[in-house]
Amino acid sequence: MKVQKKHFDEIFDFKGKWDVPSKCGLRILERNGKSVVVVTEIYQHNPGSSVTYAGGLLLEQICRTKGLDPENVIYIECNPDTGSRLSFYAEEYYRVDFSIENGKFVNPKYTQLSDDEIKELLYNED
Amino acid sequence: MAKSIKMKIIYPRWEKLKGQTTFNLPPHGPVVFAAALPERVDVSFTDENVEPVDFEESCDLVAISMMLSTQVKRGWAIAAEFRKRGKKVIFGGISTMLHAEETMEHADAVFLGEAEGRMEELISDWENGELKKVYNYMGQLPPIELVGPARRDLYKKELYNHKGVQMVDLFHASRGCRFNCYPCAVAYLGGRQFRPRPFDKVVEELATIENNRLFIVDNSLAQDKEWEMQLFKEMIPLKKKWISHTIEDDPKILDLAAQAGAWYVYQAIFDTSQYIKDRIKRYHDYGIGVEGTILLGLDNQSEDDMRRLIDFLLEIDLDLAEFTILTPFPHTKAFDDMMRRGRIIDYNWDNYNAGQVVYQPAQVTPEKLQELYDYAWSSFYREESQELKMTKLFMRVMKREMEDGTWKPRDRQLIDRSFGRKVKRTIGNN
Repeated sequence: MKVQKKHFDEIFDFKGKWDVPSKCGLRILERNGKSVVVVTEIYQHNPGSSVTYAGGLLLEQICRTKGLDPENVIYIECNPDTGSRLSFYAEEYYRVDFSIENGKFVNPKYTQLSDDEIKELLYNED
Repeated sequence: MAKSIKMKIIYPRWEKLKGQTTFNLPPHGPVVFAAALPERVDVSFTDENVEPVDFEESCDLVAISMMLSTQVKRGWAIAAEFRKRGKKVIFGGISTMLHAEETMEHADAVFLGEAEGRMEELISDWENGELKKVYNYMGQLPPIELVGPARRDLYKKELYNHKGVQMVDLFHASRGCRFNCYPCAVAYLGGRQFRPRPFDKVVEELATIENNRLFIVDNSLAQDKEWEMQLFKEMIPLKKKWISHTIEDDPKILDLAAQAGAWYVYQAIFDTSQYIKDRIKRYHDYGIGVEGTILLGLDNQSEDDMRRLIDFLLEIDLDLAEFTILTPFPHTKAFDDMMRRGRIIDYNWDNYNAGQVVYQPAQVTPEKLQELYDYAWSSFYREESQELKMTKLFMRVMKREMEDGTWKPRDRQLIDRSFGRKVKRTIGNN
């Protein structure tokens, strides 16, 4: 169940829940003046918290490391296609919107992206 | 060294599933934890599943060890009683790690991670009045060589005895898991790297266990073929009889497992294929029994799929079957998926017992899934009860023990007791 490299540009090391050393795939795209941050779950190659469980902790660390303004970020979680025949490992993308409380990203709201939305956000460079 | 600190370790009770035969096994986590404590700590142990907690017992420090999500709320209630009495309460164990944030609200300290090599710090802090709120060793796994023999001397053995028959003792030969299964949090808890204990330590501990019947609780023995074969070779002279999770499907390994005393194994039944039929048959060909584990409620299962799976079990000669409903435990992919889609309908951890529907299934209603779960249990055990099937497995192990001279008669003094409670004897010696 290997995640293909086409899903990310780099492996990002982060501290998950309870500072557990964790990894995810990361791709950052510039679209219409916004930074589109795509974090990809890499399953058994991630020793710690999943991207979903880490949630706002991960967004915070990406913004700090990459010098991004969180207010200007469109944050997307990707469950990549792993070639598994099990339906729950099918490819899915979610846009995640957080509230900001005391400088922390909390209360994530998830919206699954349609194929058109994925194309528009990830592949349309205009 | 003189003992100077009295610690009371408690394993909270949980509600057992309705309609199922209850066998209380001696819990492994608390006695593995106790083995990691400094020598100056004098430990007493209460498993609330088999005896009540004495809140007035004299002690300096209380440690609550929790394995299941269904234990956490009871654990918090026990902590409240002791804290009212001025005792410091620390929490540890698998479900403490899964429910850490909430548990912190009920604790003086929570310990996250594996205890070996870490307890001197915690005890010294307590002695100095400097107990920290969190001891976070998640992701910092101690050397596996530090895992010592579990403190099985802490068990009150007569409480794990059913009508004179001693329950199996639990044992582990490795930690961690290289697999990443959908409903499982083991990789988060014990690491994604398989970590076998040194063989000399495994054999040394096994040899100290008086009980001839064991449950090897490793997540899966099918992690590394060479290791698995060597483990079984090392176990052969000990003549133990044991239950375990899955064994590698390889004739050489199955043969060694049988020689090493494999009694029966848990095997996931996930479809109605010829492969599954053949796999069960191969275990049986080597004299190894099979308890099928059947997970209901996956997104790809329709009502018809689940009914077919349940009916299929009657065709494949399983020795026992255990049904569970998919449960989105925290730190699993199942949890992430359900939470993102707003499909979790119940966050009461008491109901996270794998027998109640706590999420919106994809293809049936929660009520229908609950009905299918009940149907699965009743249909599989309709012709022959769970207790009778279990008795048949016991007869098989007794026969093998008699052949190799390890059989011990049941304890006649406990023949009218079941897990410490007096029971009425019915027929003969049953």
